[in-house]
Amino acid sequence: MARRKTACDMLAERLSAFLDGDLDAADCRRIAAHARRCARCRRLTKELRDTVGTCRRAATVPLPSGVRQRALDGIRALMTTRRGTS
Amino acid sequence: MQPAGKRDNVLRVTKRRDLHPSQGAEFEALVRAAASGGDAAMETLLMRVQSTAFRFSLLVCGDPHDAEDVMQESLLKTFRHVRGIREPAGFRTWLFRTVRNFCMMKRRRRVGEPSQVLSIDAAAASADRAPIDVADAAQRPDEAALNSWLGKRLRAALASLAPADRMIVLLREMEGLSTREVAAITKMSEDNVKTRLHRSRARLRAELKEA
Repeated sequence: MARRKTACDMLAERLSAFLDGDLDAADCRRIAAHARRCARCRRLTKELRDTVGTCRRAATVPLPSGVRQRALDGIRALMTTRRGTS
Repeated sequence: MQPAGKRDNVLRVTKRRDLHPSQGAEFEALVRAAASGGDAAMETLLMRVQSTAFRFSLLVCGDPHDAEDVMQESLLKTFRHVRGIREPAGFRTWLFRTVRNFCMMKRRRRVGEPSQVLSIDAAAASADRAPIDVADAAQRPDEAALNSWLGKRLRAALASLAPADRMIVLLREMEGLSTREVAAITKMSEDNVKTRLHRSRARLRAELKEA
């Protein structure tokens, strides 16, 4: 017989949607209320949020200098062509 | 027990960055300006495209050398495509489809070709050695530079995901695309994108925690 889902299982399943704001207000309240009571789920929420933050921050780091320089050279060459033909 | 304020902070909904480099009205205005012939707008747009194309192809395809080629090909394709754009809102989807297609072409070529051109004698002499890309070694960004760029732990954690899942994480988390846009690029349903994103976040969390 299948084990009945606990509040912790429900939170783990829906945490990603919760963090993205994809759940309705009632579900959000249920999850938030459970996480306030459960230290383990609170920790899970924090770790998942930190993981998302780590990925998002990585997108703001400039390219390695060598790669950037070669890209800039390519862009300058394209722009020179454009100015020459216009 | 944590104080209530700190506890509630953990429970807030994560807001996507409104001013993501390739997002929002400001970016659409840039695409429109580049389409109507502005040199400064075109240059700025290409600068943004370079980072996006390199990050995407490096993390999805995995090869730094291919990533640079893909970045240059994407710059050229964007340069040619921009003038014909009528719907700036669709530019991001077009860009990622284009970069993904370049990555796939690179991979197909790589599977079908030797990694270097050698004379028959040299090939025979080196048959028992690992292949190397002699001509491009000096241009290849080294591992140390790439690790300090994105972080060794994050690169390793992303590498543990299946390629399709890695692409979803990259498009959603790093490039700030919506679930609908990701579904259009990957040709998956929105539900499938959400399920895979959830699973991938959990996997990344475990990998980053272990590292």
